[in-house]
Amino acid sequence: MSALDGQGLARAHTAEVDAVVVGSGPAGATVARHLARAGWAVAVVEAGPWLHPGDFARSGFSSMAQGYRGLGATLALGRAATPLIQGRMVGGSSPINGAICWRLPRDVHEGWCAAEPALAEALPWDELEAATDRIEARLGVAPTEPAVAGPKNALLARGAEALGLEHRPIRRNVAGCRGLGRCLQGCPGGHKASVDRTLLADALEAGASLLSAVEVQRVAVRRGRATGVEGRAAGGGRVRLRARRAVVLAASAVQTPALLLRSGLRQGPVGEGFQGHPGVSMAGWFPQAVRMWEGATQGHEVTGLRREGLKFEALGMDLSVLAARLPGHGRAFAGHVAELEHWVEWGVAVRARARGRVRNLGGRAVVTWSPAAEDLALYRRGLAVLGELMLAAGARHVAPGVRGQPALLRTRAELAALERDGPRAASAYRAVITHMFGTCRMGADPARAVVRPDFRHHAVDGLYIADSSVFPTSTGVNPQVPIMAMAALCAQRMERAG
Amino acid sequence: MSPRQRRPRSHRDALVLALLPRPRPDLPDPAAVDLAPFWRRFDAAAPALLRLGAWLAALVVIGLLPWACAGRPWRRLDEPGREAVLARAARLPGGEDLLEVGKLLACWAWFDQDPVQDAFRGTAP
Repeated sequence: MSALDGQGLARAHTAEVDAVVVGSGPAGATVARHLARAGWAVAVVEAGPWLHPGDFARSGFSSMAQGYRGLGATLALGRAATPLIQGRMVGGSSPINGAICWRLPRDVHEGWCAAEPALAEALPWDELEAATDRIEARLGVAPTEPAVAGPKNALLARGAEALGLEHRPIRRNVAGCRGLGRCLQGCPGGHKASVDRTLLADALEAGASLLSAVEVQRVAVRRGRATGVEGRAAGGGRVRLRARRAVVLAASAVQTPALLLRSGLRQGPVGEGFQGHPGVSMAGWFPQAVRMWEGATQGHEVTGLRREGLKFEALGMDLSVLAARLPGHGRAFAGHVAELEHWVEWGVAVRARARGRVRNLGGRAVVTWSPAAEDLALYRRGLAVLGELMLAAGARHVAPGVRGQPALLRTRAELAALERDGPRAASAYRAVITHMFGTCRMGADPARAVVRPDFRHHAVDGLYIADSSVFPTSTGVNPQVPIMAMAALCAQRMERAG
Repeated sequence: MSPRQRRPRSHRDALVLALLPRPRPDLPDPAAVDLAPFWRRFDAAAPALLRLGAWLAALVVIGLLPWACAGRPWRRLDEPGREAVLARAARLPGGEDLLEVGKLLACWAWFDQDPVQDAFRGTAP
């Protein structure tokens, strides 16, 4: 294996390989592993730095400055400004996600095939399941152990049980978790089986090379065929990688379409159809100290309303992010921070219907997206259920963080009123998007799709897209495992094609 | 101001100190933190919109509103006067957004300090 750190690369660098993979997150790592093990010469290019467990900072600000794109403050612009949370480091977002693993729900796959019949043959369910099994085995996916769950996860279980909602320990890709509660900052103990430590490590062991801190600026195309990529290292040097067989884009549903647009590859609905999986949250105050920053970061979930488009999770976050969420300012705010040990925050991920767009402006990806009216109705319902879960678990009051509403709610009647009468304006709600899809969708018709059902670009030979930008819709669940399963199928098709 | 507290160097310093006063006597004092290193790292890492929001929040809340509310600069307001300015800011169109940006910065800056992390998490790395 070879690894080149672009931070130290001040001069030009060129290389020739069989396949260049842009992006080292779940999709890129999966493709690189498969192809490297099949004997291909593979180069993985990652814009962010390569961080190791000892590098991960304790504080939220420092960790976000290290490894989050735009300090976690890149926004989707629209009727509300919605933060887009993405990692920007070797491993993509996987070193700083909640380690939550969900298999692609069968009803989601069925919906994809119903809308695009060609996908039924191209993405057979049995093949996806087999790929998922192999991925879960490699990542060691298992339910969160009670010994590391901690009080905040136990309280969510208690609340769900009291309300009669289906719930369970979250299945996570961790090994030897000690409940440090720092998944979202990067595990300092190396207990998260993120792709940099698993699939990408396997790829490197099989001979793949990794260029970190190198931003790919364009895909090189000659006579209708992708021939490589051009980029710039963080140290200033120009990087040119030639690809004998294929270029694979796996830079996320935001960066992949932006790269295509920068490269002048505008065939099909590139950047259109952006779908987010937004989350809103509720903070709750408990009479006992909960110390939310301890225990498995996200160890319990409520699944009973998934088919309504709502998935509830215990949240785990740095002290600063939890504190900033609390109501008030000045002395009143400080009073809440003084009781930080009693505050807990849980979230609901909403399978939103709204579609947005990714554009390339001045060399940067710009996302526009606004939740639809039905999405806002789900926000209100999700918040109401979160509040009920908290009250049922013993919270004295809850803070919905909704503009124009009381800062603290104490009864089910008040929560019902929020759901029924809450604001209709998107700007009233604090949502964040951590899962993104659909901007280079897959399909048989080149007028309505960017890639074919076999992941090949409709117009450019030797160009593949392997990340969630090809997904026809949001998965409605945490997508890292479905992303890897789909990427595994992409790699298999590539190997077959030669 | 106690001898260990620092005089705010900028409107941004004053904003974060206003939004997060010392929560408890046993916790480190936000006013004792040298914010210059934090702002350097923030300015290097934050996207342009967030930096603009921080600048605007400081300008409006610390630079302009004290004059509009009380006819004097922020530094000459007592605590009730400052709380009144914050309350007024919250009622402005877009004011809540500015205060939210300020709160986030205040929390980022304070919780980035090792003594604060130690106070909540213990001293394990």
